[in-house]
Amino acid sequence: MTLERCLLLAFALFAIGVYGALTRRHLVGLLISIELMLNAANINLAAFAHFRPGDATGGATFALFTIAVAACEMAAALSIVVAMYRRRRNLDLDKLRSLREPIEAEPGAGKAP
Amino acid sequence: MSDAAFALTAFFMVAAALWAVTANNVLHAALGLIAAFFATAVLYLGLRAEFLAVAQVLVYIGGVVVFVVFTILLTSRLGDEILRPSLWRVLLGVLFAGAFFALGALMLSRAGDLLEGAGLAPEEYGSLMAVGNKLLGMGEGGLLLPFEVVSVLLLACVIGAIAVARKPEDDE
Amino acid sequence: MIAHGYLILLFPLLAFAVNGLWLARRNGFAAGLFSILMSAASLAYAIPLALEWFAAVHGGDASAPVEAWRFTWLPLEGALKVDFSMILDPISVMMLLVIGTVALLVNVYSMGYMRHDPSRGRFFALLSLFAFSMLGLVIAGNVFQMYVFWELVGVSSYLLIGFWYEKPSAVAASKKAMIVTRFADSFFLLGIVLAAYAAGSMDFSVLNGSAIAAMSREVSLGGFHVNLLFLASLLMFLGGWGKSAMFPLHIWLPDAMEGPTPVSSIIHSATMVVAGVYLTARFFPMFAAAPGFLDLVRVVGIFTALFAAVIACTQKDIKRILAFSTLSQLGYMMFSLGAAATVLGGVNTAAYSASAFHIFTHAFFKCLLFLGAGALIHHVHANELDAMGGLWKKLPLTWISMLLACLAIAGIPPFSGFWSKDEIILAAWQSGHGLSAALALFTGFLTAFYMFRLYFLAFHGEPRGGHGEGHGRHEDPWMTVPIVILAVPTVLSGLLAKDFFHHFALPHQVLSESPVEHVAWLPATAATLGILGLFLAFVLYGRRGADAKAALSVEGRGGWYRLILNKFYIDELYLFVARRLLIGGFAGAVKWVDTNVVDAAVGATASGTLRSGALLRRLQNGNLAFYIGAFLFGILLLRILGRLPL
Repeated sequence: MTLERCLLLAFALFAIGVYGALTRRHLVGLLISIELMLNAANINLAAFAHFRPGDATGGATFALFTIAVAACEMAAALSIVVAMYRRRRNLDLDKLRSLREPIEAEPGAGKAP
Repeated sequence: MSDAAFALTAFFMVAAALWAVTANNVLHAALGLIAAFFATAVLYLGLRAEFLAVAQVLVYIGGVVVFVVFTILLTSRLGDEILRPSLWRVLLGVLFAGAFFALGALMLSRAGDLLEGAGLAPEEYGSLMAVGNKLLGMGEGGLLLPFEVVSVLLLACVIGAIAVARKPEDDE
Repeated sequence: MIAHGYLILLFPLLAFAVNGLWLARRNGFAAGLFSILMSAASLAYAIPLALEWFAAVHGGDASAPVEAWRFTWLPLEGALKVDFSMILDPISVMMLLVIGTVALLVNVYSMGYMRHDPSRGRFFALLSLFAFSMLGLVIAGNVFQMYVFWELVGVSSYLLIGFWYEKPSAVAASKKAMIVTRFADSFFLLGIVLAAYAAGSMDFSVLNGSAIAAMSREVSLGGFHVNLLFLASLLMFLGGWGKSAMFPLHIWLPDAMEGPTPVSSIIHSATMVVAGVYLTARFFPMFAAAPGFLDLVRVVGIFTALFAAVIACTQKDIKRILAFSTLSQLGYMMFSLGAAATVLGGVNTAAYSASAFHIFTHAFFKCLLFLGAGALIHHVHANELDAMGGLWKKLPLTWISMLLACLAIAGIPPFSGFWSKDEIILAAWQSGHGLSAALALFTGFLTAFYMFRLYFLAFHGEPRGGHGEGHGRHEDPWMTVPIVILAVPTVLSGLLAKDFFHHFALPHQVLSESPVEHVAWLPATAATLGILGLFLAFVLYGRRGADAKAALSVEGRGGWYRLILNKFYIDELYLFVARRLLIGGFAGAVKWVDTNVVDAAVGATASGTLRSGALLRRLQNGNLAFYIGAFLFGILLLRILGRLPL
């Protein structure tokens, strides 16, 4: 077990997260993918703390903060998911597009008066 | 942690993560996430960050993922259509994922002496005692203030989550 | 006395300020009195100053200019600076006296003429501004200062010609005067810049002296090789060309009659139009050094003189006749300056002094003629000769004075005009310009004819309607007194000042002098031609039984008469050029460019922004995965293109 391998593992986890974030159509699936990416970052922190100790405890503790913030984010996001589901009865990202710019008819060619 | 144990953990972790992002059923995906988090906790133990491993299990598996599972149960019904991504999105995802992994690998190959030298961290660096002193320390390197800030953040987050998810009184 | 010469200018300026800012709205009569007082003070200061100056330079070099005062106004690049100064030389001192006298008398006259005008306070304020501007112009020691006052003269004439701004024709006339003279002035400004650039100075003493040699070189201008001195001279002279209403820029002057008659009087005698001649005289050494330039001045002058005299023979509006006579006389002055270049290549200084002499005498009799015409108009309430006739009984003093002035302008000895005009023709003859001198003689004949046509049709014969109220004399002392006073110099100024001008008013830097021969028969011929013209006018219009109505009628006249009556259709030509060619052609092209290039570019910018915005809106498709993908793609781009470490 070396630092490189740990980092490669973290990259792999992150890439899997990226894949999930791009392909998931379910809102909760998207959140799961994001958690995977955050987890990959945590692995990085722990690996560096172990193999390159400057302030090793500090590095490990920093991962704790990440976990806390991720938990926060998850709580807020999931509450939004619940609210969204109540309203739309649907969690398909391809259908939840009310924030998009409505594409209307081509605006009149701006001819100066 | 031996190389074999690391390889096993890593394999398990990647497999679980892949399952988590590809499973058709979101509940299965959540289970995959649990598995991946569990493997991560094992890795932390191997890295001698015991407290981190405990926190990983408690907060992620015991808190976050359980929350995810509850949400899934709240929001899905039998007979929900299975949301499959279209082929071009899969291709795009593979492309991006590959790009990021390649980018990381490239960075590693160029990192050079960053990866060499310096010994391992002391045995007890990630123990409950060390982390507790660090987290609640007020002297040099002490993280008491961020700790308190994060606690406030958590509180705000809890209140916000309740406010958002609460059933509107005039609704339904 | 001389050191405080600025007081001559300050008095009219004070009158303008006090009247314009305060008194004009309160009490027109008081404003008039104040203006009269101030112009009298100005003249009262100018006379002893002139006497002192003449006495001072009597012994020494008479033509050396003296500076009364000078201060630096704008220090420009290096040695180039703009000063304000007051130069005293024969012509500037002479002009100070002339302007002072005319301004005073016109002010007095206006008290009567503008008696019933509700806004006469404004009139007096503007009149004072006019006098101030012209005084400042003649004392200018450098061309920039001259230009400042030059434009002040232009703007005050604009304001005065359009004084009755509720009349559309007056507004049109003031606009016309402004545009035509501004057109010419723009060339003047170019000439100033060019001369200042080439000579490194704006002082007349430098431009007329050391700069001549520096500027006598060929420059390439768009493939043509031109003499720099000639070019600078031409550009500056173009300013005077427009101001002095030389053909073909004369069209504004007859229309300027729309202003009150005292304004016409002061414009035509001492200010405004004389400025162009004064400019030419001021730059005389420089113009004389430019090869062939004075010939141009001479041709323009004699052509304008003849051209305007021909038109004046057919006009019916009394003020227009006088306006064309002014054009003709200005042509004489220009012609005289141009005739200073002898055929042998020398400079005949007699022609220069003759021009200054003619400015001097002309100022008095032309002022008198206009004031008298104003009295006639005031009496019959009409401008046309149709409404006059037999007025000698009603306005006896005006009649006598006008007769004297007509004799003077017709060149009948011993009245003033004879002397100055004779000097001009003589000088032209001496310089060897036989044909021009003959044309000038013929113009003199025409002058006598049209002036006495006016005289006989206005004062003699049967009264032809008009509003001549009742019988007996109807003369307003405010108006009559200046007329009678002006009759004195009208008669005497030629005889008395002849020697003074002949020996004294010379260009201060004489380039070369050629020997001149005196021709005894020339004055006799000129006088005879004048009397012939007078006699012809008498036969046609003045003798008992002459049909004045038929004489004024256009019916049954040949085409040539209509051609002349309509001033050779020059105005129509201008209108054609302006409307069809400039507005229709050039402006049309500019308009096309404006709509199809400038506006189109603006429109294209707007519609391009809208279209690209519409395209960019499509990025906001609401698809979360797309956003994440774009975000990740941005990170990749940053890593690849940016300068992140590793």
